[in-house]
Amino acid sequence: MDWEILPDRPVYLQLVEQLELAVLTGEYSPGQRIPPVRELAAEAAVNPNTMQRALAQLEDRGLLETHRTAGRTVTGDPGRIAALRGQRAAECARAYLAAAQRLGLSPAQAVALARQAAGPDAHHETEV
Amino acid sequence: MCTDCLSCQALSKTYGRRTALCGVTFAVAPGRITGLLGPNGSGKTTLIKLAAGLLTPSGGAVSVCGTPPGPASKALTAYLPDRVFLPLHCRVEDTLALFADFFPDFSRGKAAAMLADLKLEPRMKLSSMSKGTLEKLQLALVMSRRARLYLLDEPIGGVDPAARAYILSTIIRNYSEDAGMLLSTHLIAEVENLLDDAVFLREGRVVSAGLADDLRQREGKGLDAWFREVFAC
Amino acid sequence: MLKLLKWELRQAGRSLLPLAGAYLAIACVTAGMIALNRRWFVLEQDTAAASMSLSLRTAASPVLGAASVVLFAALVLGAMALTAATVIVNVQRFYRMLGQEGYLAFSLPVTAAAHIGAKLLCAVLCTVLAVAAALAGVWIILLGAGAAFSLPGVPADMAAWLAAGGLASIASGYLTAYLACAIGMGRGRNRLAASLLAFTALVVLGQLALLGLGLALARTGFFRITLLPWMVHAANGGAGLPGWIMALTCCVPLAAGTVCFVLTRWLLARRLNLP
Repeated sequence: MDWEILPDRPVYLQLVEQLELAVLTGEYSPGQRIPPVRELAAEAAVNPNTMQRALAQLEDRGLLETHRTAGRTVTGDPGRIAALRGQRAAECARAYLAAAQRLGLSPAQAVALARQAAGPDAHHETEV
Repeated sequence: MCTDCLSCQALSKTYGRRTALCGVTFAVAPGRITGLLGPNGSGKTTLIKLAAGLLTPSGGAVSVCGTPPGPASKALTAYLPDRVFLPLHCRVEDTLALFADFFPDFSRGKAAAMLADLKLEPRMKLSSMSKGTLEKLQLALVMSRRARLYLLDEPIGGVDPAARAYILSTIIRNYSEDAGMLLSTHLIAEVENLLDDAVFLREGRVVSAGLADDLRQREGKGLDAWFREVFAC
Repeated sequence: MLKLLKWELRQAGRSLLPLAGAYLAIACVTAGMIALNRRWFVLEQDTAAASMSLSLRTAASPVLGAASVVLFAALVLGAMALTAATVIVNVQRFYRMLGQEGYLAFSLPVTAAAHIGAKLLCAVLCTVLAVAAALAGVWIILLGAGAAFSLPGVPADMAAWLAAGGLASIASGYLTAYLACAIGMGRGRNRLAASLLAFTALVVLGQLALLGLGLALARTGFFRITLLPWMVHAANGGAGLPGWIMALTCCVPLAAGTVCFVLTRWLLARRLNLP
């Protein structure tokens, strides 16, 4: 997995975000075992304590589960993943609207622009 | 279990008129990776040599797991100098034997695995290796020890980027919760993601010491960016 | 310290064993040639004056004869060179330990005393072996020449004292050199000059101290009381020296050596300064 850690924000927050993304994109599928802390830390070139903190946070959010014998696995509960997807997508939408507003567009204009960019298939499936 | 793997109290070192270190106080706790950061000549190597027992302090105190530097502390300390310290007329197997002989906490298996990664044969002569390979060999030997304190002096200085990635990865993989690690470098951007704590030195004095993440949050920028700002000439 | 000693011997042996081997090889070759040429070499021993003389009969084969002489000369030079090389190599190893090589040496979990002790033992051992090799070379030559070699009769206890005194002197010499290196330590570019200067100063100091001690003792009439009877004894053809003089040949270097050891250890433990 490709990690990109930028210097200006706390590292563990970025790790949390990127791990969530990995789950959402399916890089780590539901129920799949994830590598141990040290392995992930070496991959991301970050401090193992920081990686541990990030993983602990994901466990708190229910995205990861720890089993005594199997180590850490992605949750098998599709509901949680869907909830996460919805959350992240909503954040993206808010970010887009904010960016459009900075450019001088109204919300309605921003939505119309988005529909246009999506093309003719965008009228179906309005539920996430 | 010791309370602090490394503890410096008002540590000073002077060479005649020149003051290399003055009043340095900080500690490295077990399981923490501490960065000793600062420009060249700020006293980082002097501090590490004091902790390793290769220099004696002019003032203040330094202790490793509660004991002052000496044979007892050296058995607990894994020191990687910023230069080639292995005798060049040896072969790889000789260096393995040396470490195994003198350091009970040396793991031959770990070292063998790392050497295999580096594609180094036991019978190879050190004099036939490039500087980069020698530095990786030294790193492999030092990191194969289960020490209480790791002192790494400029482990990635003067090495190509691919080797840097390998070295940092080796350091992370050999991290242990019982051990403290002090890593000195002037290449802050490369290592800042690795650090739990950061101690900044300038002209022998501590300019800032604390958690790396705290500094990022407080200043809103990375350690390297903050360093360039504060230490700009 | 035993582990250190093992490593020291291995390292020193790397440089010195080839030299010793070459020397002995030359000795054997020369002995072989001499043996072949037994007709051309005659060894005469004048037992009364306890001296030997080597005479060359007119050679029917001048080539072999000349070659033997040349090799013999080379052997003598070789013996001196071997001893000199041994001393230089051993002192150099200590000197280097206070330089770049110290980064490895002083990160090992051993005391400064152990470092000094291991290097000293290795040095003394090497020197004794070098002298033995040198003598062995001469003995091989004489064997080739077909001569018997016997040392002048020396009483056993005196021989023991001489040997002990010899060892003590060798050790003391090395320790003086080590102290000089330690004094010169950490002076940057001037390290070598400072060490050589310190060595000269130490030797001069040592000789002055000995002279001073001797003079002081002489003034108290010490020598008059103790030496005079023995001088009379020797003049009458008696052999040997009083026991206490023999003991002195041991104690003086031992004392000097101990002082050097203690000072060196202090410098290495409390004032270590690697470049």
